[in-house]
Amino acid sequence: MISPREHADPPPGIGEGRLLPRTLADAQGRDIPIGDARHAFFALLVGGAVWEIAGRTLQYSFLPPLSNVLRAALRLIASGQILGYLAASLVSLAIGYGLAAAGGVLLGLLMGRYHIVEYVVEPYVGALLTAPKLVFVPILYAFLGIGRGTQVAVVFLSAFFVIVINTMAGIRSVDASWIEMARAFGAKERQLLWKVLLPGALPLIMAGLRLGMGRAVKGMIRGEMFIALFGMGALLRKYGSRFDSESVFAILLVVVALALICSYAVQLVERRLTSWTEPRP
Amino acid sequence: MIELRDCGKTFPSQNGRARVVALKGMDLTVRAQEFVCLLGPSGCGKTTLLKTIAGLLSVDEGEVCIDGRPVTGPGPDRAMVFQDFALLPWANVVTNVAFGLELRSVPRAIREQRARELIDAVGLAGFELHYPRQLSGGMQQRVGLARALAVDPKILLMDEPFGSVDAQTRRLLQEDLMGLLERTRKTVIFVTHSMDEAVRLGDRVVLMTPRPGRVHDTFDVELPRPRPPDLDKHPRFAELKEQLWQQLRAMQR
Amino acid sequence: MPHMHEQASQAPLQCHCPTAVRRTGRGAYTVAFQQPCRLRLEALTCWPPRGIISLNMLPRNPGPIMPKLSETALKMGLRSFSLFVFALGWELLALRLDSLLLPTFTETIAALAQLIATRQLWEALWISNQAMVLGFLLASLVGIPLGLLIGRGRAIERYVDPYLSVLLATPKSALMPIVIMATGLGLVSRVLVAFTHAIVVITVTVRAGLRTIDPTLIEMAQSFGATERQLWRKVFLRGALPAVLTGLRLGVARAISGMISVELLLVAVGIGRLILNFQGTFDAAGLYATVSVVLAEALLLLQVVSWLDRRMAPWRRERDIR
Repeated sequence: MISPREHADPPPGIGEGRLLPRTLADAQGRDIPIGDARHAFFALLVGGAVWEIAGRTLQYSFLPPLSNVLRAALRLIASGQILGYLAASLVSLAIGYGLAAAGGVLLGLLMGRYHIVEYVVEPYVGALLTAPKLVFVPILYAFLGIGRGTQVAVVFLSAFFVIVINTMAGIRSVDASWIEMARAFGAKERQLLWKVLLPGALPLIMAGLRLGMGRAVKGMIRGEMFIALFGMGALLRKYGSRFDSESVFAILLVVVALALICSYAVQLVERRLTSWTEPRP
Repeated sequence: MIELRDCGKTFPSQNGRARVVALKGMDLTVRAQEFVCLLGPSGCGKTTLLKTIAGLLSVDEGEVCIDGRPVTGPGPDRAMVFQDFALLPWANVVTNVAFGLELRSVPRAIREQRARELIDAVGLAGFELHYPRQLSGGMQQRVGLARALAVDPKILLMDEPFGSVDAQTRRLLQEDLMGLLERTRKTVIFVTHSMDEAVRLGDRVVLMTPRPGRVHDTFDVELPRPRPPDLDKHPRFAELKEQLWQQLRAMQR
Repeated sequence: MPHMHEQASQAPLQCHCPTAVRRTGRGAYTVAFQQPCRLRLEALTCWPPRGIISLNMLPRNPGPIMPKLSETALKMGLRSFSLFVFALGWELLALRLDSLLLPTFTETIAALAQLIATRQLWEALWISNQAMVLGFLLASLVGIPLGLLIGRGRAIERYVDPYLSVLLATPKSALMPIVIMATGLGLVSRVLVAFTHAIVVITVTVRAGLRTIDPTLIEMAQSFGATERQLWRKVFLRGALPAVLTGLRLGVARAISGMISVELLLVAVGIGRLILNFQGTFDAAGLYATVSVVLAEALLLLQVVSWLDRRMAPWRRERDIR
């Protein structure tokens, strides 16, 4: 008599089975790195060189060579201007983004879990998500004044809706079998939320927070350019109106650096918190 | 007919992964119209081997020859069936089956005619205009099989084709494959994990060992063709499976 | 062999050797019995599990249409009701506050009607959208091929990727002063602004789309002897189509954003000028009306692209490339 064990096939291993994701893209927008830091360094170096040469040879007023821009940047930093305005920017970014993250995850949670909430709220979220948020600034003036309040509100609006829909999608994406399993073991609604739904939705929530950060920075700059009283956006407008392209580029570099640092910070947190997930096939 | 002499294939290190020696000292001879099953644990290079015969990968050492001529790329004499079906999701069944012919610029009327014949032969009549997502796994693999047969290859390369379907569908597909091959004899190289499948389908089972991949042993399957319906009770069937399992188990230790 | 079942009752169910249990949806299973009838079971929702506690008999023919209708009706009813509540709340709040800066709902509607009737709005829309449409089309024409090329060429991609990442993270409105400095205050500069807003997202989305094409498909086509040209025509272009449409959808939103931004910030023409005028003259109703026009336009354009998406790429899987 042949025992059942002998009929068992050897388990499929990594590499021959279907366990590894087959593609390089990640549907959440994360890219599995292509090349590495060396390529990036080299590419940026070449870009910098091209900029310098083009600036010197073409002599366009709107394209100063890189060296001039860097000198202008140092000048601005030394005079303390940039730091003051930068601090102002960061404050409104932090408050606006923080509110958007908290509120967005909450609303997304409600929408994901309770269909009624989704039915009611979805058209508004959808409409406002795709709307250019800058048009709301004149309206916001009426409620929050021409200053900090409106600025924070712009940052908030820019990030909020992206976070909401990603959180909602995250809650929806939680594998139904996990919920059934938890229920079968006697989980109550509250335990279900904290132990199954939120952890399960975390990858998409983090994706939403990452996208929201990008939008928050952009909203911040736009808002500051409109209000033109404080922040990096105001500086951009000031030097832009003077046609001081060197300073504009200098401030632009600082803004880009800021955007990249913020984005990278969120990605780090994201990677730590979602290390248990596999990239989506 | 197919000859591999002392073949070796190494994948260079990339993106942080170490160098992988997939095949080394690989010798294999497949006679015309023989059904050879490649069996072995994971990492023994079965799929790599198949791809070199298909012409999708080149060997670093040794040579792969078909009818005496070395393999330089994919050709009309070979067709492949994939484990994950690899059907074009935006095309219906007819278009998918006719895909190989379309790539060879066969006129539309002729290739659709041929596609329909094969769709009938694999038992999917009536599903011509369906899309892959509307089909079950077993049905999708029938489409894959029909596609491979449509180009009338001499050699059929099958990479664990029934690995992604459930056990019952697997048995049905195995039987249908055997039935199809009764009618048109082809040389088949069939990669599998399953000893049961290898003995059930093959004329010869080549056992491969991993790291690096090479032939460990070869077993001739002396079971009657066509396979009798009570194959499971055939003493030789169980013996062979047992032999294979003992070898495989020893390899894993 | 007889089988017995109880509808949501206390007595335990007796199942006689179900031959197969299959999940057919969220918390739903189909159990095939040895008798030719199929029963659908609800998920276990109580503790301690009492086993299967309720069953729905599947009707022999496809179910009646009624249940579906009532669900849709409920949805629409809820939505209209919430809209009504919103409008009412707005009206009451505005009446209560009685501020120059907060018009009532009815005042806004009146202003909107007036606005639509005059030429002012349509002229403004024409001017603004010229720049937006041209910028968007240009961004598509350049961005789609660029995304495809970058996605296909591994070598190029390694060096271009850092720039794409940087550009994607950069607030494009910060680039506006430079564009204005370079091209002045006319239509060209506004087209370029819309272009810069849209191009990066289109390129990146198309590139990502190319990479989500199952490599096995490419291998399969190669195994049948496909040339590079054939690969492009028969696999890449069709496979990347959903991504292209997603990219266009994202690009439209960005182009509109760029159009509005440049008009509110730097070059006061078109819709932007209308908004600024209303703001300057404290005409709150007009302001709100114009803002709703902008919202409506954004929604409309996005619906158009979504419709295109559904028409052209119905096979797309649920997962979106975001």
